[in-house]
Amino acid sequence: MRISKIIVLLLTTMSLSAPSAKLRVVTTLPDFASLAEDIGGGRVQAQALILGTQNPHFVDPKPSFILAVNQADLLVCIGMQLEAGWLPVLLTQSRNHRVQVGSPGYLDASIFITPKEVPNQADRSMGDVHASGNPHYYTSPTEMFKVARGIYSKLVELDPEGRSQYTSSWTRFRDHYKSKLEQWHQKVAGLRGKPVVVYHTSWIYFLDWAGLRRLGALEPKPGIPPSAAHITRLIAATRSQGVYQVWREIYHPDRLSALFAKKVDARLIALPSMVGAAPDIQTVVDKFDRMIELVSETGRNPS
Amino acid sequence: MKCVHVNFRWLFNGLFLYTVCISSARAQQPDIDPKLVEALMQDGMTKKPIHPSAAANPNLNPDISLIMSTGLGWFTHADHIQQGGHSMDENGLHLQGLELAAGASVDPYFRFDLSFELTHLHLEEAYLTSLSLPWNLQIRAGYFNAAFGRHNPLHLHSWKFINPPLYHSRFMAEEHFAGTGLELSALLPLPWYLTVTLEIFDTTLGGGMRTHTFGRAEHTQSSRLDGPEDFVYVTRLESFFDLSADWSILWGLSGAWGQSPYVQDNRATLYGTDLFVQWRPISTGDDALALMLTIEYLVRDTQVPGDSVRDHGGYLQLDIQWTRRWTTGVRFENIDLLWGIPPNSHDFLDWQWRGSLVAAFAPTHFSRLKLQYDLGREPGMDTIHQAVFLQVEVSTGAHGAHRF
Repeated sequence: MRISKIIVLLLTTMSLSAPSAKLRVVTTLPDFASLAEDIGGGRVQAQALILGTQNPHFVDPKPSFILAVNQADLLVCIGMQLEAGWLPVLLTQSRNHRVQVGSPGYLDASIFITPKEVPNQADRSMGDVHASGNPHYYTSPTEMFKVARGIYSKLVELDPEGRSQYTSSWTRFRDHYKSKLEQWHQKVAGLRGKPVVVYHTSWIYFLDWAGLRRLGALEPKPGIPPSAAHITRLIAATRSQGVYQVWREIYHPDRLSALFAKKVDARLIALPSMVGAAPDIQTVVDKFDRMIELVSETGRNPS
Repeated sequence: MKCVHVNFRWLFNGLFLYTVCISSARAQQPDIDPKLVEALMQDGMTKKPIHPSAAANPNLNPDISLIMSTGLGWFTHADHIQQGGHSMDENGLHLQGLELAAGASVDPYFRFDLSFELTHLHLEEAYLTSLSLPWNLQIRAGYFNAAFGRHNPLHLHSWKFINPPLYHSRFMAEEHFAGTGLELSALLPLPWYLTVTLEIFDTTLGGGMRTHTFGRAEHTQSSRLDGPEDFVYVTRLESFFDLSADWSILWGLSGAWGQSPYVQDNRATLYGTDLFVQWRPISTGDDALALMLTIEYLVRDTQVPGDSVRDHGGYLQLDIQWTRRWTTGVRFENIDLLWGIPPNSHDFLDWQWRGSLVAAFAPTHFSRLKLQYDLGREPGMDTIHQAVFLQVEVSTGAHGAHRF
């Protein structure tokens, strides 16, 4: 008797949990949460699962994420198998039909972008390659604009009553972003053709946008940590080519990158690939401002 | 245990189609046209995806993976501590496991997962999971590992050590405490993560239940399922706390009730608690570094002829992930008889302890080498035995997603 009362009470409590007035958006990438808040204004409450300081390939599917996805009206993910190791289990355990794959509340942001480095043949002997292409499109200002527009469309679809507010925020965001794009283009114009070496092949979208060249990567294959032999070969191959900069993400090891940069006499830059990579990078515009500021810096490593 | 028959044809068809799809991945796309961006600026909303082909793999085949664990074992004593299922119990080379795993959404309402052990041709798990029940409820049905404790649901390739904890093979089952059953779980509407899980398992021979604690329906006086008292029930309460971005705590309470295998229509019960604490400094960019503490403790009460026996056991494990590739771990474990006169010395062991050290090297996500050293005491033996294991694990196919 007592157990049946507890069960009834429990079910009543669960059915009475009042929905939030705001559209709850959960994103894997912090950039998407920032975009949703920019475009959603006061109608959206956004939460990112990944920190900007965290490697998105390796994320612990914490039960608190299950709770977040459970309460989401919209889930925005990077896609292209980047979250394959942790997002599916969150979706299954979320008990939330609104955000399951194929539901209106599930948005794979990669559907809006033009994929690069799509392998003709995907085999794990090639390293951690993704059959759908390089998933780090969030390093490109133009690709992120397309994603922003996709998020705007999705917000209107899920919350049509907020259309005028979303459109107003979107127009403001679009115009601001357009002026920033022009600034960014001007700043990187002088960098066209400069050769860089990267730690991981995360930057192809940004490199192509800015017109820089990737000479090589410290990882011998995507996801395979650098070896001394590979670094030695890479130094020999690139030393005479005037490496402009060496780029790593904040979560990649510093020691080998610094050694390589010293050997090829190039500046080592820890580029912020995601919103939140530094405390003052709060928006996508902040991120690209910082990225472009850093890649525009000339000179060698400070001694 | 009942032999479970599985039709392989669809699995091999799926594997073949999957291979074909992978090998025919699309060609490199051209660079973006700058004019496209300008056009986007003028447009309103996106009516449809610009490049739908960039989305997740659109084929309808299940995600399939093959995982193999093989290794070398060496013991100082022939009558060493029994290692448990999937483990190496003799000197020499062993194929510990060869798992075929497949899973996919069935429709908007269900997901299906399968895990088949190819080394001994038996079913590990095959169950459906509901995706859209109201009130945050979820159902699992089929043949699955009981949600008891932290270790029991883990498959071989998810173990940090090469052998399972002592308590597992003594109280749970040789491989997993599992069976044909039905599970109902609820995610409670609270500010933190708290789930309640209730499971019921069939105990007839046909249910194929794997357990070292509970009796089958055949042990009842009528030798069949007569009522609710002849099933095995499992419940679990699991709570998670994010103390900060870097600190996480998972705490669980588990209980299981069923027939005693020693006296007709008598009872056996299992109680357990588990704690997992993790520190991973993701907020500073050092997310390859982690410190993980796991503690599990169990108590078992079993009615035996003319008496009641209580035994207990558990382990404490500390794992340190130094880099993306290197992990080391230390585990200390203990099981003991607390009171009662056991009906045999095989199922109820006197004091037994073991200490283990492990070092693991993972070249990638998909391969791992482990070296383990064990030191332990067998009941009734004065000498301390030692063991060394070397293991290689590889997985191919779909990238499996694992629970926290």
